[in-house]
Amino acid sequence: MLAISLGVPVVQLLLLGLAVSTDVEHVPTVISDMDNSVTSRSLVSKLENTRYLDIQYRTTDLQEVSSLLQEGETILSVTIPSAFERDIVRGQQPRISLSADAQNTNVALTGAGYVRRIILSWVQQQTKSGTSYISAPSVLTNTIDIQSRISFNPQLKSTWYMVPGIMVLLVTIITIILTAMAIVREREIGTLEQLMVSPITRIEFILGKTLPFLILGMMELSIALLVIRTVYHVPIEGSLPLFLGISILFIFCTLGIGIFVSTIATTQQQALFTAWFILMFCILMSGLFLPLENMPKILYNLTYINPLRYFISIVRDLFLKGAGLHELWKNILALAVIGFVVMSAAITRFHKKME
Amino acid sequence: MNNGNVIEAQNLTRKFGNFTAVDSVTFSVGKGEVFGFLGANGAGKSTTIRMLTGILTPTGGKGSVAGFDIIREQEKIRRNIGYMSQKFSLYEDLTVEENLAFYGGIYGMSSKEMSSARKRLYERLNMGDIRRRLAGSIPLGWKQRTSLACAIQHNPRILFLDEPTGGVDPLSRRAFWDIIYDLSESGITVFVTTHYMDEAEYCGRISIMHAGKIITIGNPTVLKKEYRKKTIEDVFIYLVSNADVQTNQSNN
Repeated sequence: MLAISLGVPVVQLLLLGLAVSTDVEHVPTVISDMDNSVTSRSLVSKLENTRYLDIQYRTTDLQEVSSLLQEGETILSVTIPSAFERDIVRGQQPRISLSADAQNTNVALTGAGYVRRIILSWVQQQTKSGTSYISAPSVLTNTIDIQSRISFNPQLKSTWYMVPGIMVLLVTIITIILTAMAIVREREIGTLEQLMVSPITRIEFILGKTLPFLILGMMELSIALLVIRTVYHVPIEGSLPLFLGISILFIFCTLGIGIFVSTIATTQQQALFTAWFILMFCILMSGLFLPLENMPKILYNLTYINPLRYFISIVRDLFLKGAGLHELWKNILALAVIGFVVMSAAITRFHKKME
Repeated sequence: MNNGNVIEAQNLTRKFGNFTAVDSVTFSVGKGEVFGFLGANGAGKSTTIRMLTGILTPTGGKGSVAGFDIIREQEKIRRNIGYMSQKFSLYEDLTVEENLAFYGGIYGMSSKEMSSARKRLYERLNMGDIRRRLAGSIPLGWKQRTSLACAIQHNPRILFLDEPTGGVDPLSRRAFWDIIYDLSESGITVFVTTHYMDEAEYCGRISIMHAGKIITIGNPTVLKKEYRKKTIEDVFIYLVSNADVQTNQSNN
């Protein structure tokens, strides 16, 4: 335990120091270049060559663009109209449309700002280099009309983004810590030993120790939902039963983590310490407070094993975008896999034995 | 079951890393016996009891309890034994009666069986007055009795008691041993560990354990005669210091 006490802070410092960066960079973006001319390609390459944006998709299918936004694959979409080059040459303002998924208002607004600035700096460059087809440097800003559209949280309320996430955090903390503490407490007072010599099976014991916390977690979630609706007026566009169903799956994961912690710790202090370390990781790498896109690759890959990451993304998409099974199934599947693996590991480690 | 023994241990050994907690112990306990397992703290008593009750796997040797193998048939053993540890292992935020109901439920007793068992136990252990008190708020002597009640309400054939009188006042200890006698008379085998030497006198047979080994085994009166000592305490001190001298010599 001494090694853990000293080692954990170092690991936290290394991991979290790298992860904690509130800068917005690498905003996932889809570009639709409908013109595909020399001019439009020059603008696209300008948009590509920046660390602020991460051009993940290029398509001319506008249907696909909207579904990419809907499914949360990208946060920004930039659409260059078909007569872009011709309009510029003729001095008519072509209209670039910019759509942002404003669930995370910070990322959306900053990202949209980047796109705007990049386009303006491109226009400036074109003018300075004397490229023939942009002939009116004085009306620089009027060369291109940028029309922005903010979706999914048009009033740009950051509470809509944060509050459902906070609700998820509370449920996570309660279920992990209480489960771990409850089992370790039984170990401390000796009732666990008493139960080990009784005919009770391992599964019966684990059910007895987790079902109450599943119920408690669901009750807490219901109360939080009520507060979210009545105090913060966060919309719940998607299906409520689907949300509750996925919540049970998520709590299954956190209960598994709780049991797993209890198999490592022998005292309540150790349990609290271990649970807190896991929670720190889960919370900071969930995408709730810090944009995942900015994390170094290694840390980003670590977030794939974080159940909170998937659940927070599900909750946002379901609440604000009205996403259903069709859009959410990948995240649900990820939760199910994590839950199954964690629970199996926990049950395997939890023996009716003392060693 | 051979020759009426309900507990058998043959060269039972348990190592933790390089440390041998129990070193090849062999003994047997007959039905209805009160068998005392004596030794200083750390002599290996609890480790032995944990191997017999199936919560610790031996690293060597074999054994059986109630006719079932302690390595392969732990689940069958668990249905036939009662166990009470030195911690008294009660849920302190439940009442005495709730504790009994909880442990009864664990053993699959019906509510009818439980209420008749409770009635019998309250009378026998004289604990009717405390049944509605929280287990955390009653004196140690009563906790001990409640813990015993929890361990015997499902009518086990063998009762394992691990330091059952630790920290309890002499009067409660005496009362406790009276109950143990009653149980033994009704045919229950009692396997009890203790480091109180006066309690050893109450046992039908005792074994003295030291540094993981059994150094003597037999009836207390016979042992006192054999070693020409007045009390079991004297026998114990004599044997343990002898054993220490021997180990020191062999080490040098």
